[in-house]
Amino acid sequence: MRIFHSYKQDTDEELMRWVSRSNTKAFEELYTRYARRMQGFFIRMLGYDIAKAEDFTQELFLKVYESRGAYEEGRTFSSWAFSMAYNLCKNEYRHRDIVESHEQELNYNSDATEEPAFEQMYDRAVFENQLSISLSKLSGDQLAAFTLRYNEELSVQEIARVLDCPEGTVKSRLHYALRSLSQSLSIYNPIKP
Amino acid sequence: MKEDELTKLEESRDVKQILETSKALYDKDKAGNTLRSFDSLMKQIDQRGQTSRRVGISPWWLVAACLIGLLIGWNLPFDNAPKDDKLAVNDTVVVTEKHTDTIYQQVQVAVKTLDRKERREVVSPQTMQAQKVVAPVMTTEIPLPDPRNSRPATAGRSLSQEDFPVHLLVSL
Repeated sequence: MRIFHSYKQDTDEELMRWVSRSNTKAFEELYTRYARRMQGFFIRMLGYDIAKAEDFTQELFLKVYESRGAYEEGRTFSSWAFSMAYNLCKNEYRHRDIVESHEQELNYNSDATEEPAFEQMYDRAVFENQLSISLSKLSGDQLAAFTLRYNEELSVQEIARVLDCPEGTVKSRLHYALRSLSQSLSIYNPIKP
Repeated sequence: MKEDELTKLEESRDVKQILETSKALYDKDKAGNTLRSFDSLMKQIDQRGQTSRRVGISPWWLVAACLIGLLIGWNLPFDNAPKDDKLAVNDTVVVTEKHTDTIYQQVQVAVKTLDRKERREVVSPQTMQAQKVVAPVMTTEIPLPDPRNSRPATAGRSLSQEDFPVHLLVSL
């Protein structure tokens, strides 16, 4: 019996095994570990729409709980959860075409191609702002690969499993994303001489 | 090849800066936003479970409904009713189409040569005047066509009359 057992020591996969037996405490531990990460992922993927990101996080954990029986033993929980999260984002892209409307929602006055004022050139805030804009201009696949690799620090192999594509495709997506970001942000980079 | 290019790109100064800033922004977004409580999530899970339970039909109810249907189907006296009481008797109706061809019959017609009398009388101018005034209907007796005649169009008309149809005259 695990009445007095703390689930904090268990791995994600062990916790998921408990969840598959409808253990609410183990599910709560998983929620504590992953909810913030998932919300951050949704914020980035859904164009900084906080309310929608909260809804999606809730929806994701609902799906995790409902499909607990379908969890494959041996698969890492993080890649399983991220693949579900990515599928939710893909559905959202399909239905609302959020990538295009994102720029209008953010309502940034400055354009990425415009040359900023000299005093703003090295301003970190401007750089961060432009980075957000440039990230939102990446395609959904590139943005997901970028976020999972450089922000969530998943391996290329794990990303390939999450995005359901070959590792080579992940690398090329990362390459294009980095090149695109570096080109669009070259004039804003505060460390550039 | 691609991996080398990617590694090179990752190690470049500009991209390193981008990656660092992106990570900082990501962490800020994660930490800065409130998270919904676990209780609200569980409440939602319970609500969904209740909804699906409400929608689901119990197999016992399904079996009971089938049994009731069978009882109604077998016990109602549909077949015991006398046949005369039936409103309509089912029967097969065969629709046939009647078609009659046109039959042509050769008829022998006696050809008669008609002599045309030409009378030329001298008419006085007074008589001419009177003939003009009086309607020909009044002077000439034109009998009505006889329907029993084989050629009703010509019935009661003399060949000498000027208004006789030319085509009939030719046939004659």
